[in-house]
Amino acid sequence: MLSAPAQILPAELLCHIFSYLTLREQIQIAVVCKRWSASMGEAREFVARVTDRMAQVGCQRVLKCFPRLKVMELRLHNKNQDALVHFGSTFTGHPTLTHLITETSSILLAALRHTPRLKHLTLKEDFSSPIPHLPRANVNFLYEIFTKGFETLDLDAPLLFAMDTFAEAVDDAFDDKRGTMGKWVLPNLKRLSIRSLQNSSMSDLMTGFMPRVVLTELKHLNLSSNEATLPLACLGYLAHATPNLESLHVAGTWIEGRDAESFVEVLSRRLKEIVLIGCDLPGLDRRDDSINLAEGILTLLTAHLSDVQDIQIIHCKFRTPAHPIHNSHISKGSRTLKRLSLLGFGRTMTSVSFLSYYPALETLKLDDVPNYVPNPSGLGMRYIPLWDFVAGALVNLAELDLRFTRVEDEIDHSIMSDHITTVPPTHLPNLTTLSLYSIPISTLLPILAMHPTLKSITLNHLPATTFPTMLLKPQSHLISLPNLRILHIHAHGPMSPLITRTLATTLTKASQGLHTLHVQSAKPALETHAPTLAALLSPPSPLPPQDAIDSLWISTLMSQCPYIRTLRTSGQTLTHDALARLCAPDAVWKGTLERLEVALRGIPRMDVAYDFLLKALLEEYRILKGLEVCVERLPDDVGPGVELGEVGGRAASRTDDMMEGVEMLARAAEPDWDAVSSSSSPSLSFIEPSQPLSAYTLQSIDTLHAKLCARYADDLKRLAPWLETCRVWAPELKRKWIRSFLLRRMQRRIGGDDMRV
Amino acid sequence: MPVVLQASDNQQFTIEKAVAERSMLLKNMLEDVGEAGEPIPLPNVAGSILKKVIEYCEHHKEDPVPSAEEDKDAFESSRRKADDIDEWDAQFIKVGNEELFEIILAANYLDIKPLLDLGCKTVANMIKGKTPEQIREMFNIENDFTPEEEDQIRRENEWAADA
Repeated sequence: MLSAPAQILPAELLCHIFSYLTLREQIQIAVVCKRWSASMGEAREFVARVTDRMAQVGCQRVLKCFPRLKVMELRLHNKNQDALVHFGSTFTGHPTLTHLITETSSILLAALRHTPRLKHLTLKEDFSSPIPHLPRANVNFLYEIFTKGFETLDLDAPLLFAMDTFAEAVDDAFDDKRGTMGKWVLPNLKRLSIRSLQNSSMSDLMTGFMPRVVLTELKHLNLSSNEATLPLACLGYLAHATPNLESLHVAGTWIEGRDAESFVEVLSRRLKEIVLIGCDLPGLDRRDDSINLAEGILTLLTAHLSDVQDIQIIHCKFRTPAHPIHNSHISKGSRTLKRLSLLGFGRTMTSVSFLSYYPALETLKLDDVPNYVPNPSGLGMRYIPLWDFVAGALVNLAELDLRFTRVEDEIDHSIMSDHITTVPPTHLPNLTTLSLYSIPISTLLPILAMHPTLKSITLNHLPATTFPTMLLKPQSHLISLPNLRILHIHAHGPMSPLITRTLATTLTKASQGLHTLHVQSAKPALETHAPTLAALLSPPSPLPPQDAIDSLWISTLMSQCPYIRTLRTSGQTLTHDALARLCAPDAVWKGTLERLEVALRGIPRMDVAYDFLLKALLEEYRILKGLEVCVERLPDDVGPGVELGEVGGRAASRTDDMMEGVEMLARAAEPDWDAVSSSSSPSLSFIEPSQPLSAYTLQSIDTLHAKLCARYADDLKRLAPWLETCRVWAPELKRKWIRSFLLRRMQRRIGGDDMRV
Repeated sequence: MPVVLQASDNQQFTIEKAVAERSMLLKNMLEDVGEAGEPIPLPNVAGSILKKVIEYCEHHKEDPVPSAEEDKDAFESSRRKADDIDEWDAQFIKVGNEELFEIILAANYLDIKPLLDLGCKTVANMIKGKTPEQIREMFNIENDFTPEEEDQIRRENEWAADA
């Protein structure tokens, strides 16, 4: 046995191991040995993007390899609808399958009739998907689905809802005498989601179905529509049809009603969770601008739903009622509410002082909030930081997401200067997840220093017009976040690359366990001449040039956080050295890195060093699943003429008419592109002069860009078949091409009306 | 009340009850027989491996115990995301192949699901991106297919080539 340790594992454990592999990897290992081959057949899960080859072979033949499946997921591959639909239609049932997730309904009939253990169905069918099977089947699929006794149903199939109505499904049930006492009882369903409802299908569901069914065990209901109208009476039917409903999500729906009170009243009092996203709802009388809409709605909801734990109102619109309402006095607040999101209220959330009525809150998300609020105690300072108010009132918070009204580096010192204190920010003992939007770094660092409990930090839109000297002060070195696992930093402004990188290395000094790091910097389109770091520092420091991620930064991170699984850097380019550092023999992330997103300063197809390093990287990173390469900007010394000339394999000097290159590029966008390119193994010689430039439009540039990128991505994927996703894109290159193209059009006026895009 | 475990080679380990209870096998056993103080024999686990397993349980003794219910059936494998190896675990599982497989076996026998998942995921990561030949070499597996058989399997599975 010593000679073959892998062989001591029984089949069930081999099978457990294989479950972490992709379908292709699973199939590949079937030839390792007989035992492994047999174990593959034990697989419980089959997740496939359906290719033409699979469609040709057919579903039954493929599933023969997997006699004991529980979960099957069929997804679209390369927008190949026909392959998916055909593959689905060759399914004839499966004895052990319990979960089906499919992007085509062609599999449904066999799945419903010949798959006895199926309990969970997710159908997400695009409206562009072919549905020849629907008219042919001559049954009401919705009836077939509901009568099957599923526990969870997630239906997103607008075409199906148009062909087969919910009302007819109930009619069919009554024809079958499934209905008792005038209602069709569906006792198994626990979770139901219906998405992509249109006006007609929403009305069909709410007036033709809900009043005639009882969903005795339904706990979770999710309705999402495309601005369909929902009369209040229908919410009443819903409450009757779902006596045990605990969680209601409604998205994108126009809910009728006189005022917010009448809406809240029709909700079932037992609801523990209500989530409203992008809905249009009846609101409160707000002729008096001082009324706080967010507070008012929340008060109504918590007064009516006595056990409510979770309320999320996200980007909803509230209509002002036509008639003034006399609000009866209702008690404010709740001791059960644990999670609250109020997003998109803007100025209609005039203050956040009402939060103190909800002391049990553990999760809070608010946007458009000020940095400072009036001091509720009335003692001492007139204004206190919002942080101190929130942390003081809600001591149980574990997850906090505050999106401040955008500020630039400096808060409004003219108002606040008297009130800013040197007192450390209030401490939240349970805080694990923190997300802050547009917080000045000077406010941020003391908060982070207080909370070593943090596991996840998301910082969006950090103002970055100047480099905060605070980041270099010893104070920032007091920050220690040993529990940190996830860090996202996004800064906006000319200094953002340097700030995001410095923050990343400063915050993770003690974060051995960090597994996800995302640094994103965004610069304004018009760059201002911000003071450089060198001007802020004396004597000059050996810090890296501010735009590029260099090997030093990568090395620092590797030594601080050796277990990175996801690394995303955007808005700043990786130097050759940095990429080489990732490939170095002692690079610690080789065994951990699963997702990598980098930006390069140059086009790998032409930049031999980048090309070599990227390919070397793939050789080294065997568990990498996702790779994204962005050609963020072109090297300074490359004009459009040069790179396009090199694409064409002949060196055009940059002083040449840059349109030369454009012409070649336009030719490259020929329909016979594939034929030309596939015949040439070295990637550079793919352009054959053919038609005149006038035959092309801006669209062909778009296509060219997409193809150029896709081809390089395919090259990489061929090299590393273990990649699940690989994306290459070159926005800067495309922009340059289009600029030159338009310029040429303007200069030469070729083809008159050819400016169409 | 400490618990005494006895490995196949008669090595004994005295550990806290909370540590022992990371193992569902031991947890159930302790519930059934109470705390007799007698060493619990584990004839399937060698001392060196048991030591390693105990090290894991010590480190994770305060983790929340996964509820048995949510574990059943509910999407079992599909929710088994590969992205949860934490840094201590990654360090812990850096062992030779043979030891790795022994740990997986022990975790399975003792019913310590997180350790089992960790071990299996580690092996899966070793397999990723390797050709069948490289895999055989790595794990010292003998190819017991005839070339014809191997060829036939490859042909049968051609549909997955571009999957």
